[in-house]
Amino acid sequence: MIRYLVRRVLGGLVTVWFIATATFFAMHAVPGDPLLNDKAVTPEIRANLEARYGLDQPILTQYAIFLGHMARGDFGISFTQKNRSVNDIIREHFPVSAALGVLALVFAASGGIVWGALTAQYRNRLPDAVIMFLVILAISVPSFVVAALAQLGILYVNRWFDASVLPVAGWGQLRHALVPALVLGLGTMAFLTRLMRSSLLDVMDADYIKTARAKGVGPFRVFWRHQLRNAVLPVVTVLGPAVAGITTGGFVVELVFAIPGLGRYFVQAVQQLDYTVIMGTTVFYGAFLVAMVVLIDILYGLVDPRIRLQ
Amino acid sequence: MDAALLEVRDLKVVFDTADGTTHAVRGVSLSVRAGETLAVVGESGCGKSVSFQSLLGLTPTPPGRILDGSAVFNGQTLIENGTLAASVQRGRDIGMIFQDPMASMNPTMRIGDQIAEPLRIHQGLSRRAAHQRAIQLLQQVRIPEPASRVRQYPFEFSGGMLQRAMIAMALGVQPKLLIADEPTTALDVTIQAQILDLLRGMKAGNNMAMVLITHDLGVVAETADRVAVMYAGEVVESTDVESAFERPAHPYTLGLRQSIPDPGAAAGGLTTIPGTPPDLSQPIAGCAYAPRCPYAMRVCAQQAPPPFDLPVDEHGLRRWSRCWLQHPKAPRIKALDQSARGVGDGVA
Repeated sequence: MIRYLVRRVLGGLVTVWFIATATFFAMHAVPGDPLLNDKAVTPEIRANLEARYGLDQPILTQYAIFLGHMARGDFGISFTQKNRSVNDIIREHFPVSAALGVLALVFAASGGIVWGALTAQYRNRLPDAVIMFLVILAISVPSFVVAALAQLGILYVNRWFDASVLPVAGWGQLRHALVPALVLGLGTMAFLTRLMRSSLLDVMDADYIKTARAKGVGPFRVFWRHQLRNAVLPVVTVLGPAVAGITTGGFVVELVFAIPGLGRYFVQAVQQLDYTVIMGTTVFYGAFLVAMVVLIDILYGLVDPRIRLQ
Repeated sequence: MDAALLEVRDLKVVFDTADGTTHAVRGVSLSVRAGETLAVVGESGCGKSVSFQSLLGLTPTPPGRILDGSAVFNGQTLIENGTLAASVQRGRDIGMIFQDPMASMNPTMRIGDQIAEPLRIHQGLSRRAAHQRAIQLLQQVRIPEPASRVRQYPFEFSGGMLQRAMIAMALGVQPKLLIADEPTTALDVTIQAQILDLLRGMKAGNNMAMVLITHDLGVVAETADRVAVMYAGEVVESTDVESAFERPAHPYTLGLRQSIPDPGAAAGGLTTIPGTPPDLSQPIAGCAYAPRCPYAMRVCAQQAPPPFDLPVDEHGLRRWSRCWLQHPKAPRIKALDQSARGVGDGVA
């Protein structure tokens, strides 16, 4: 187990290094100038700035310096927000994105399992058809549309109760997070519903379900003890990529609901060619995802005893 | 005739599919007495498993549906007029074990928990007591080191050991009847003998009756007291085990017996029954076996044969055959027992 963990962590580090390197050179290959602002800059100031950010060095030297700093966990100062370090930006805004993401994942996983179980139970009957129609809808409609519609929905709810039940935008309390998290998790929820449905239907016909029923186990316990545990395995497998989708997909939702998360900086930095913020957020997200995938692998072993020993 | 432990009359089960209705079980009548072993034999797809799974309500519904028939177990109604009685207590008085032990145990549940489950449900044992009992049961089915094995998962067991664990699971609550659905089909020949030994021993120890569903006549000869031969969803011959081999009274039974490979015979290969069983989604006129029967007469294709009563066996139990050759006016066939005295009601 220890050896397995060490191997996974080492592999993860290599992955992060690869992500960093690819991003670094891709970013420098993009045409444009990170120091070109609205204001005109004199050659002297420009030379000063280049020296300060190390842009006057050859690109390989820059890369070596970057790797050295990255190894110490230092991503430098933002190009666009002077005197604000990238680490500060991440420290300040990632917890917001993480809170939103965790809530979205809870919605997605619990919703996916419940709806999947319902559709499987009512296979080929009306509830199944209705839910599967909504699932296709949720997968196909992009999140900015859903987010805008959700805001409209909030408006109607507030008007109906004649009170501000739910805020349309903003951040700070749980009620701010509810609707955005639901919107953010919706696509994943739909995906998990479909997965759960097919997985449950597979397990429903398994011989050991017949055995359990032959033993006299009641329908409720057959479902919980025998069916669900086995059906949930494939769902656990895709939780890793699901975390990826939710954390990186948060940008749109954060923007629509005016949530001060990291997603906004991630995208803005690319638009403004803010080199240090691009590198910092990308490497951070990369490391986060790798950590999640390793975590899910360990979790998988907890659910499926067959994986544990190997 | 003493009272039967299980009495099934005219059971009919159909499956509704997109292509129409398949009549998987077309009027099965049989009985099992306390303490005896009834072997139910026949080709794949002849309705052996479906019949008994329907008794316990294990047939998936839909597509499966009990059309008609009745079943009484130990004075308790299982099926009446084609309707499953709500009071069926599966796993308490009737235990069941299945063909493929690897697929029939829950892969994510410890062996001990799976054995303990019926004990806790039917005997109300505490978690700890059920665990202790599970260890005892594993010991009874001769699993070495039961105290540590009880904590393992199915993937850590071999096929033979899993079938032993299944037997322990079904017999823990001491049912009066065990339905063993091809319990040795998925196992090595050497393991098969051990499992049959074990089943015989457990049966004697618990004074339990057993229904052994199989297509292996070797297993029948070793284990059964009586035999019900099934073909195309009905019982075509019901007899004692000795008569089934020595004096078959139905051409299908004869065909099955002749299909047993004979190590003494030199070249010539295996004897088989030519043709295939009928399509059960189509109506069957006359005797279902007639198209494959070497002795088929004109009446066979037109009218379904009733059960003809044969002389009782040495224990005074009824034997019968659903074949027109048992009619007094039918031609005599040397290889067949044609000693029927008249038309019976078709319950063994």
